[in-house]
Amino acid sequence: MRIALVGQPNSGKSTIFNYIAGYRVRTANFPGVTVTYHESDVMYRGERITIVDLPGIYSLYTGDVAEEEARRYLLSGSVDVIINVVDASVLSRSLELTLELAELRIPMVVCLNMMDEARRKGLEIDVGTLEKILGVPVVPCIGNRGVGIQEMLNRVREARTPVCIRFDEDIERAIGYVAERLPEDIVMGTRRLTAILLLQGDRDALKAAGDEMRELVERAARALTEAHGRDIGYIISSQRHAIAMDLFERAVRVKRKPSVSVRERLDRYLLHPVYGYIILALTFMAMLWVAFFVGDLLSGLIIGPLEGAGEVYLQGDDPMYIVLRGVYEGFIGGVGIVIPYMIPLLAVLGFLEDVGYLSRAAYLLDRLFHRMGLHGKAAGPFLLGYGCTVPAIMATRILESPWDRLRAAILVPMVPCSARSVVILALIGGIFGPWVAMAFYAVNITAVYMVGALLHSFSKGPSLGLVMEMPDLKMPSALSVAKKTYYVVYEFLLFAWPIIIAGSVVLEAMAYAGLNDGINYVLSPLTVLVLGLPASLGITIVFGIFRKELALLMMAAALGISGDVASGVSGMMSPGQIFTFVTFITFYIPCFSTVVVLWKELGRRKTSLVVLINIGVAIALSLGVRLVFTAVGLF
Amino acid sequence: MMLSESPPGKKVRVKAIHGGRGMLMRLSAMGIREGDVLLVVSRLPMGPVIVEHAVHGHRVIVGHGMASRIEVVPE
Repeated sequence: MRIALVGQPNSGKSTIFNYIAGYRVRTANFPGVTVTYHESDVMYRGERITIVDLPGIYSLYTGDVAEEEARRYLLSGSVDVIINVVDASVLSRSLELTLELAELRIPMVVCLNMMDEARRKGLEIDVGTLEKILGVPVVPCIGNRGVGIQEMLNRVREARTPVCIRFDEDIERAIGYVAERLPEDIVMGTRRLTAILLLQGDRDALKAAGDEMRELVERAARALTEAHGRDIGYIISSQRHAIAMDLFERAVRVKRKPSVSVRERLDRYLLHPVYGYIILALTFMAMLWVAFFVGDLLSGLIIGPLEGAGEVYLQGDDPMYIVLRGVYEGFIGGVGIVIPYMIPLLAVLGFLEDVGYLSRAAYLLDRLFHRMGLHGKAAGPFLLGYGCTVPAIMATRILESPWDRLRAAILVPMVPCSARSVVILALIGGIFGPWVAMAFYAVNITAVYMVGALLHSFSKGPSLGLVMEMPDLKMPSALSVAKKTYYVVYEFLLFAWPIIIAGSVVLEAMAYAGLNDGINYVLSPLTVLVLGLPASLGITIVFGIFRKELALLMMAAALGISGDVASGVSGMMSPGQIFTFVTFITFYIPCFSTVVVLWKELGRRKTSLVVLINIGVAIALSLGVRLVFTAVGLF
Repeated sequence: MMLSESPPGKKVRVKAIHGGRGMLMRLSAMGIREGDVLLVVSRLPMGPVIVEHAVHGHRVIVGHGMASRIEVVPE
């Protein structure tokens, strides 16, 4: 049996999925698009059930990619039961989706989630009345505490096809007229549903219909639009809305207006035009703190010993050792990203998301991102980027438009991740002092901003802009945050680890074959001519692709420095050369793991574009740095 | 008056949404329609507006561009 969880964003759908799902969760892509959903097999009373967590949707009809895919999935005939997860505290609005789902004619159970929130808002919901009107089981739940979920699963066997609503007489007539004339092969779900979709101008349905049918539908839709004086799609959704409101009034009593709560008072500070930004900056710094200190600590505890062991046991010139060393290095490379950086950062971000802070950050940062042609939702990926680029790229999934997503994917790798910050802090901070390092970050932000504005000037028209729900602040469940982190890490390891290992074997083989001098020679037009750096740094740039923090160690090795890298480098390179090198390392090709993730998320062509733009920006900026320093005589 | 100019703390009624079908449907999916009453919760100069829906009670962040195409009257 296949059960699909369907609900609006922030309805707590994923929390419920995480509660039911086992540890073996599959992440699936809808073919050809970046919208993903989760699936898990669970045993329930001796029966194997597949639970599908479809993306959160507000409606089935507004033309949003996630909505179209969710609807296609529901219409594919593979779903036996829909569990419609509803945020009970905004029931009046959520019922509209429930009524839309009813038109699919799939047996359904309604899960009234967040009953505690609804009670806090003074809503008294008569579950019996709702059941009677909708004609399906309605089960009250509190998802983040697991209350009611067992009962909901018990009642899946009572799932019924819900009662269908009726629109105004003239609309019903048009629906009937179109439905009767539909050729059998273009029916999606039911005749009635297909007719409604066609009248609303749905792309999928119109594409399937032939010319003759399209003309017939357009005539009917035009007549209705004229009669009602508004787009017929909007009229149909307005009538559904009115019916939902009526249903709400029959089943719910609003007892009292809630008093100003602690959370609302907290919001006054979080959204304040001055304090809001101070809190945002502090949150950001706390995230960086996690990235640097916790990451460093874990890295030292786990990666240090692993690397040490490799040095002891895997020395030798035999080709067998080369391969083993490569595999081992790649293995550590994967662990070295996941444990110290991905897990802590994703957990912090998941926590901020579940608390409801991300949407507040989006509100505060919307203006800033606007100049780059993005909007406030991009705040999450950029903040994550300071920790590790890999989860940051994955987080760009929240941007709806593919164009916005590509722009974010180009800019996010230019934000120095913690590995590159190691290089910046060691060389700039270590040699010129912390204030200069801070200034370097400021220059970096300006540069990213300018590249963003430049990309924006090439874009095709403005995106629709920001509209997002701002959920109430709430205490997240640790289980939900943990599972969310686990899914992303699991997905990353499954996909990226083998590739990192293979890449690392190639790198070892290259060093073994004595190709390093050759690489330095091949790269010398870039390193020597354009950037004015020692030719021996060429190899550090290649290794830097693999793991950017290695660039520092490789640099010391390449320049023959032993002991403290900072003082060694300042003796061998001029300030101008150091700044040029660090600028290049900060901006050029995202690291190997990032490229792998980009490939998976965006495909080959867009990944090449991102890499090329990053290299171009790196060369242009570091050349600029070189010229500035030459002008003031410090190169 | 446009939503982007409405003072925080005041209630307004949506008079007209000046936009294409995409904008109309997106706002209506978020529960904002012509005729609805909204409480302006917070606003940044030249930036987004947060509104609370008088009936549904949920809050929505509306970017400046969209807010300047939503015509409202004081309630």
